[in-house]
Amino acid sequence: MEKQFKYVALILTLTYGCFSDGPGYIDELDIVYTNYDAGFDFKAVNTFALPDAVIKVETREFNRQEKNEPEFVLEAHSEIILNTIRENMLFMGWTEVEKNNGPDIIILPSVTTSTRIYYYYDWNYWYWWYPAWYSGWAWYYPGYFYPVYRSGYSSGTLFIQMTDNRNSHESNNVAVPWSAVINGVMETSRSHIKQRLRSTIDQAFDQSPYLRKSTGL
Amino acid sequence: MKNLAIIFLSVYLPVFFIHVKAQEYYSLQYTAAIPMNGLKDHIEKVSFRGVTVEYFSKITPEIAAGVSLGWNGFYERKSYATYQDGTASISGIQFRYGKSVPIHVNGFYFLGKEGGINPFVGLGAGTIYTNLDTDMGLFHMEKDSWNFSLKPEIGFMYMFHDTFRSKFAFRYNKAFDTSAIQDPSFFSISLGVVIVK
Repeated sequence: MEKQFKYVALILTLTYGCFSDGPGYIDELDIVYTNYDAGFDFKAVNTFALPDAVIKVETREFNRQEKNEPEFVLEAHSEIILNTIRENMLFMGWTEVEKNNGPDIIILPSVTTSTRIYYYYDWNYWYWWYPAWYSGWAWYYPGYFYPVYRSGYSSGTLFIQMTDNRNSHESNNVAVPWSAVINGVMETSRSHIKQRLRSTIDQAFDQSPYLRKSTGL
Repeated sequence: MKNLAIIFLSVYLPVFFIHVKAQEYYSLQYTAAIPMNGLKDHIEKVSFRGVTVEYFSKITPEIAAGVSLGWNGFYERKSYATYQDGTASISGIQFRYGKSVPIHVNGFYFLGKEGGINPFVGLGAGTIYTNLDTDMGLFHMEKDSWNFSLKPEIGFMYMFHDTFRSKFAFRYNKAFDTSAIQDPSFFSISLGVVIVK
């Protein structure tokens, strides 16, 4: 009988022991997600504008009666995010213009450190900066759906929206023909955050070749 | 599913209702599995985490029939890559998991009498439950299915005690297509102990 138990113990040990599944390092959870409207003609738009700060989206709603501006991410991080976006856009052949000079598209970077991604966060968050901001507008994502994800699983997300600024006044809505979700890098405890911000933002543009103005790039 | 039930009943019933005054064999085996076809598309790495429990009864000294239930866990960490899904692109490291539960009714033909090494060939029919998970950062994808299965098998039993045998078996767990998961087949190698009553 003792021998029998030894066999059983050996089999169970071999079966369940010596395995470590899943990520060993937090960096392994980083993901870069991009999606776009296949019906949008990216070749027909050439100019873009960027804000000078990256906002924090902590809750879906933003009460602009209580405060004019939202919270912003650390200046050092904002600078890296905005500069890396700018460098990628310029490299892809776009031209940067001032927000009041009629940019074709506007890029809105936001960060959330909560355990949700707010694809439909309050338009009021951009009351302080968006050119010709109008309270009746709202986001919409033409031609594509944002993905299903597990809320509460991982926090620290940089969300980049590219909005079509050409005819917002007519449609009363803000179309987002391209968006990127970079999850993981904005967690406060992360080391090497600057390097990882650069590499993940670069990746978002690398995996979006339709944004290039020239196929030779 | 109706066809599957008919196949099960037609094979199970003889096993349980034929009065066989013969030796009964209970077995617990450690099982390693090598993914094939649809399962290999999801996970290429060999599973060293598996177990098989088995019961069979000898109808004649050469012929036996019984049932078996197995479990194998698969895991693979993919390299950093970009995946396309329509207009969406996702870059990151995928952690892939798989579980396979083969359930079969088996027939065996033993070559020679018991004592020492006793080789056999076998064939099982039944089903394999397969569950495939993919984790990528905060994204999670999952699918599962019950696939009809056939299981050819070869191996041998070694008698080292009046009531104990060791058993080695090499099996091909062939799973047929369903709309959810196509052909999650796998080879398996089992080694374990058999108790004779």
